[in-house]
Order: sequence, then structure tokens, then C-alpha cells
Amino acid sequence: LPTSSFDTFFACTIILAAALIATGFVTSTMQVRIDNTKSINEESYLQAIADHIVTSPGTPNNWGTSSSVPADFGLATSHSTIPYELDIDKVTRLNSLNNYSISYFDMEIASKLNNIAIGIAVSQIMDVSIEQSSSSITGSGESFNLSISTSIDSEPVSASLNCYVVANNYLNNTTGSTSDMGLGSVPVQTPSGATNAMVIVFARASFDDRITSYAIYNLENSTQETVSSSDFLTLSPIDYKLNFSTNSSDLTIQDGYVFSYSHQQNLAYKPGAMQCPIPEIVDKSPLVVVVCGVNDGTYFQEWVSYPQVPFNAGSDFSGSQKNVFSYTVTINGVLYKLDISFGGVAS
Amino acid sequence: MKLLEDKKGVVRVIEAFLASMLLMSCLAMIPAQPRLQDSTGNLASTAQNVLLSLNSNGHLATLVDNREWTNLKSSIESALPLTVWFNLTVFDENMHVLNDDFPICNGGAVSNSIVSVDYVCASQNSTYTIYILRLQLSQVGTI
Repeated sequence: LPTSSFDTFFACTIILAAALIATGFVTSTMQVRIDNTKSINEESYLQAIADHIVTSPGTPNNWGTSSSVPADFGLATSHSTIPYELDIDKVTRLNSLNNYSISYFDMEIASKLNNIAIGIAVSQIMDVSIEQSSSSITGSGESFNLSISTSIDSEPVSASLNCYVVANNYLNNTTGSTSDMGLGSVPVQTPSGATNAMVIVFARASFDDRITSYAIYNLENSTQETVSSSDFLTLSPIDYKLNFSTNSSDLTIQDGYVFSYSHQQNLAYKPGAMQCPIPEIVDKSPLVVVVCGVNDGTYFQEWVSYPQVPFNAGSDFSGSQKNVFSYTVTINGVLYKLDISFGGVAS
Repeated sequence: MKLLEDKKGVVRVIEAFLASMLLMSCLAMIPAQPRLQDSTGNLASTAQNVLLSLNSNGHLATLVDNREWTNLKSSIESALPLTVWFNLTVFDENMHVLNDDFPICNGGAVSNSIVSVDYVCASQNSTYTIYILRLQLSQVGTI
């Protein structure tokens, strides 16, 4: 065999090997590029859907105030002059605890999402945490000292506090503040014989009055309640009306109050009615409605916030891929955080 | 023995080897292109949302009017997740920096991919002073 033939064969083998390796490179490279392009398209496609949900009022544009299911899903206030302003009732109807909430199926259909999971979470921007640091019996009742901390994304912030104490035939309020370290202390008292006492804490960030949050503390159980109570009576606020529903035949509603950061007002409840109006308080604050009554001889207090926030609606995406789009939105003059999540787009 | 002593084909082998190396190195360069478009698009949208929402009632312009840089920083910080780096620069209508002595940011930039959004707002007082807010965002952890 001539040497030149051997050299040529050897050179050809190397080129062939290089060509084979190069083919492998090209395949993997092109696959990554195709995947990236697909991912970019998917992200911009989902972003456009999320933007539509946040900026469109949906159809009909007042679907929040009725029990109807929207034909087109959108959460914005109709005729809004403020960017990213959401409708209080449309947001409230996403909370499954509300009797007028729309189902996940309806939300999917109205969003025109056929094979993409959707999840919507609305939360307060500022977190308020309450702990009972001490309590003592006094001559006129019981005295408590509450440690309150305020933070945004786990970062402490200073805030002004307004605390309302509600108990059986008792209503009082105390003000306070948290320091730059986000810590504060508020003393509250309840009279002798007061049952089911609860404290409604409103906190307003010192740097922006639109960042106002609420928190509920149950003095009897010494726990902070994060979900509205509905042991005896379910409260469903919608269209500035409070709707009652109960399974008990021996339940009597006695009183009702609505609270905001700066104001408190009695509900105009008519005995026997299953609905009463919620006063439209002009205040950059969430509203907390408390209803007191007697069920089978036992005094009770139920509360609900309006808008009914925080909540997680739709898919929980446990163990699956999700694309999250976060927004800062305004509901009734108060800033909230809105997260819209979508599952992966099916190929 | 004759085969080992004959060196005439070596150049061809070296040439083939170099050619294949050149080809492979060119191909290896292709996947090095960064994938930035999706995250930057999202950040630009976030920046616009934050500025529009926070200034919905002229709040940001009022803070700039009063030179309340600390509160302005807190406002921006409250609307952005901890995983996002930001830097806000405030200009007047002649593009002079107003917050020269007070950087409104949450640390140094940690990524090469920075999105910048300019937002024009007017003060709510009778002078209607124009301000330009330049918000730069970057996702912490991306290169």
C-alpha cells in the first residue's frame, strides 16, 4: 500500500470523525436555539395574556357586581383613569370563600385558555404580624399588650397603626406606630365579661399612605386569623352589599360594623334581612366588616375584608412548571400585589 | 520502516486536523449566545408597571418635588421583589441629575443584563415641573 494512500485514508478518517462530531454539535445547538425561541415566544404570549387580564375590564364590563359569569375575563375597573386599577368586586369574586365567586372552569373559559393552567394571587403589599406579649387582669376587665411588626418582602418598614377592639357590646380603638425596625407595641383592654374579643389592626406605611394593610387578632385564642371566619355565618361582600348565608335556623344578627384605617361606622342592618349595604368609606384602606350575633344562645362575631384579599385562586401548580407575572395594582386607592401564573404551553 | 520514514503525507494530516479543529471551534461558539430577550422583556414590563402604578395619583412626582429620596427609594423597593436589583435616576427637563448626592438603588448591579425604562411625569403643583425618572432593573442571578 503506497504511503500517500495511507495518509489520505488517515486524513479522510479524521475529517469524517470531525464531520460526525460537528453534526452532533449542530443538532444540540440547534435544539437549544429552537427551545429558546419557543420559550421566548411562550413568555411573550403569556405576558400578553396576563397584561390583558390586568388592563381589560372584561365582558360585560361590570361582571363583578352581578352573579353572572364573564364572557371575557378581565379585572380592570371600567372607565378607570388610574393605570393598573382593578375592580374591587371582580377581585373579590375570585376568592372562593365568597358565595359569588367564579369557578376555575369559568375563569379558564373566560380567559380563552384551553390548555394552559392559570392561577391568580392577590396579596397586601405590607405584612402585619401580631403577637400577644403580655396580659393581665385589671379591675375593669383584661389588659393585653400586643407586639406588632410590619414588613414588606421581609424588610421591616415603619408604619402608623390604628387598632380597633371589638367584643360583646364593646368597641374601642387605640393608635400606635412601628419603628424603622418595623416593631411596635399597642396596649388594648377588654371589659369584664367580654367574649370573642378580636383586634382589627390597620397599618399604614409611613412613606406611602396607599400601602395600608389589615390584620385580625383573636384575643380569646391568642392567634392571628388570616382567613375570614365563617363558623356560623358566611359573609359575602359584593357591589358594596354584604350578603349573609347560614345553615343555622336559630341565628340572630345583632350588630355590624365596618372599619377602615381612619373610620368606623355601623352597618345599617335591618333585622331578618339577608343583605345589608356596606358604606362607601372614603379612605385609602381595605375595609373590614364585623358582624355580631347570637347562635343558639352563643354570642359570635364573624369578619370579612372588602376586597376579600389575600387569596390564591385557580391552579396551585404543585410540582409543575409555572410562569409568574407580577404586578403592582390599585384597588380602591390601595396598592396590592397581583401575581398571575400560567402553566407550560402544551406542545 | 519505509512507511515510518516517508513524511510526505504529514502536511495533509495536519491540514485536515486544523480544518476540523476550526470547524469544531466555530460550531462551539454558537451556543454561547446568551438567552436574554425573555427576562429583559419581562423586566421592562415590570418597570413600566411599577412606575405607572406608583405614580397613579402623582405620588412619585410629589416625592421628587419635595426631594424625599428616602421615601422614593422605599416606594420603589416596596413594589419590586427582592430578587430584582434597581437603580432610579431622577432628571429635570434639561436632563440634569437631581439625586446626584443620594443614589436610589439597592446595592451594586449584579448582572450584565440591565433594562432601562424612562418615565416622564409632571409635578402636581402649579408649576407643573417635568421630571424624567429612569428606572434600571436587573434580575439577580442572571449573567
